[in-house]
Amino acid sequence: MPTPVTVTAIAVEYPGGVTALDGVDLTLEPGQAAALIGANGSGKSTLLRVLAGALEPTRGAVQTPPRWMVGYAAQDPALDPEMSGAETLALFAALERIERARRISTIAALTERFGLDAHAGRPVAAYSGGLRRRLHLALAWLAEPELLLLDEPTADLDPQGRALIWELIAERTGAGGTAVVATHDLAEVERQCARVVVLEQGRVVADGAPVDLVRRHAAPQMVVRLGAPAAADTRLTKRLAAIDGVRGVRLGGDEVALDTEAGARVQDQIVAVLAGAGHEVSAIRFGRVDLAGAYFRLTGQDR
Amino acid sequence: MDILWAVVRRTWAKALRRPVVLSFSLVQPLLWMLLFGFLFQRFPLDLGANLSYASFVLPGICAMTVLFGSSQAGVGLIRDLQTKFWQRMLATRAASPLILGGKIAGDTLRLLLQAIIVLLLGVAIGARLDPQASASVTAVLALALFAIALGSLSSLIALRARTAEAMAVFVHLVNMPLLFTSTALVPSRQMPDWLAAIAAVNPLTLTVDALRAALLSQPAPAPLVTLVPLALLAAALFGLACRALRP
Repeated sequence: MPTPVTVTAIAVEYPGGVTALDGVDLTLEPGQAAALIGANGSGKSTLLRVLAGALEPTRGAVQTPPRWMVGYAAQDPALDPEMSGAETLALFAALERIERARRISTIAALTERFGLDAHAGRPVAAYSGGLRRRLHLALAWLAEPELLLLDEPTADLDPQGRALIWELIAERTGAGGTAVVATHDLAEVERQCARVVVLEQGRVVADGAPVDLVRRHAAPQMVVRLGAPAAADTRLTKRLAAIDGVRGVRLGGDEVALDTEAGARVQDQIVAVLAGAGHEVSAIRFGRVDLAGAYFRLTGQDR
Repeated sequence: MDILWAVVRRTWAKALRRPVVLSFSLVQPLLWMLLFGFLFQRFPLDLGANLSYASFVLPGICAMTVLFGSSQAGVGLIRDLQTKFWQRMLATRAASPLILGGKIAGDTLRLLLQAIIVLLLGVAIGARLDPQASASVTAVLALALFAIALGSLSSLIALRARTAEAMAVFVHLVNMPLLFTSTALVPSRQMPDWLAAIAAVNPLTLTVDALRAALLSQPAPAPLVTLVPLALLAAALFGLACRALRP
């Protein structure tokens, strides 16, 4: 019976007073694939290390399967450059207590699946970044873990490699396991994950299905670039917000961001209001209505 | 056994891929043998009837091969810690003492083999042996226990300090006092009383005396008097190293 993964009010403080996680609550049911997204330093890797049992939180409680049922691939491939891929897999097959009779077939299947068969006899030192990543992920996959934790698994990988990762995640969750993946690959996350957790400065700022996050946070946006930076102008902001179909206005520097689904229908009115206030419009673009749009909005990077 | 053997194989494979290090570890003891030979040849050492200094010192040189080799065990461990490969091995289903045990066992077997090669090379450059077969089992066991003890101590330092610099300090801080307060280079009857007292309880002395009994038919304490203290020391240091494995 797979174990749900639960973290309750966890905090992680690194020496020097750096708070990497601050009151994170999370429950993942068996069969679920969750993506952790957030800027560099937002706490994704730290949360994965806590889930993997590689880091004790400063505060809070963690409930995960036993460590030998967790397959964890950290961001940096942890490999011995002097060993070959085949030797590395053989060593870990023994350490994972895979039956001797099954070992050769397991390793052969893994090397083929991860595209390592032509390179298995070469020392890891001679591997490209992508091959190292493949071996690193094959080791995390070796014992068919109940909880799969992948930190930036698609980094260095070619398109086939990236597709394989998402295939593995789907396979794991299809078998009743749980997968948590930290990634910046938002387009794939939107397609492949049932759940997205957005981290910002060690806190969860959004958690839900990608479609819900897009609906709630990725309001259609029109961004108008002005010919010159505009000073704060409350009257102008009010006049723009009063246009039918415009729900919100943010004026900053040489850009005006408007929340609107009306698009081209209100474009002329907006340009007219801006011209009336003495502003020349140099360009107009429409913001993204997808997970990336929601993410930029949630993390304040849409301005 | 399977896990232990897998880690032993890895340790051997890595050693064989560094032929320069391997050959240096054979050349170094012989260099010591020649240098100490030149140094002590003219001193009036009481070595026993018809025993050249080269013959006397060869068992000590074999034990030194193990002493210096074991204390290097931690260097490989530090490399594994820095690449996080060690942490990855510990995160598997294998019990962590088995992983450490496999590494130390691999190093011990390699060092025993190196000691045998040094012995043969020593004979080739002039040492004369008077072997006593009945004492050879005690000698090999003593050498193995000594290697396990030093390998465990070196691993303990590596796991605690996690820097190559700390290992260098360790090698000098532990190896040199162990060597110069033992009977590896001079017989205890020619040491000052206080030094002879220290030498009597020095694990290197116990090992060297067992080797001299086997290789030169010299008198030695009963096997248990040699093996029990060495086994207790090896067990204690291995236990401490295993405790240091906990995150």
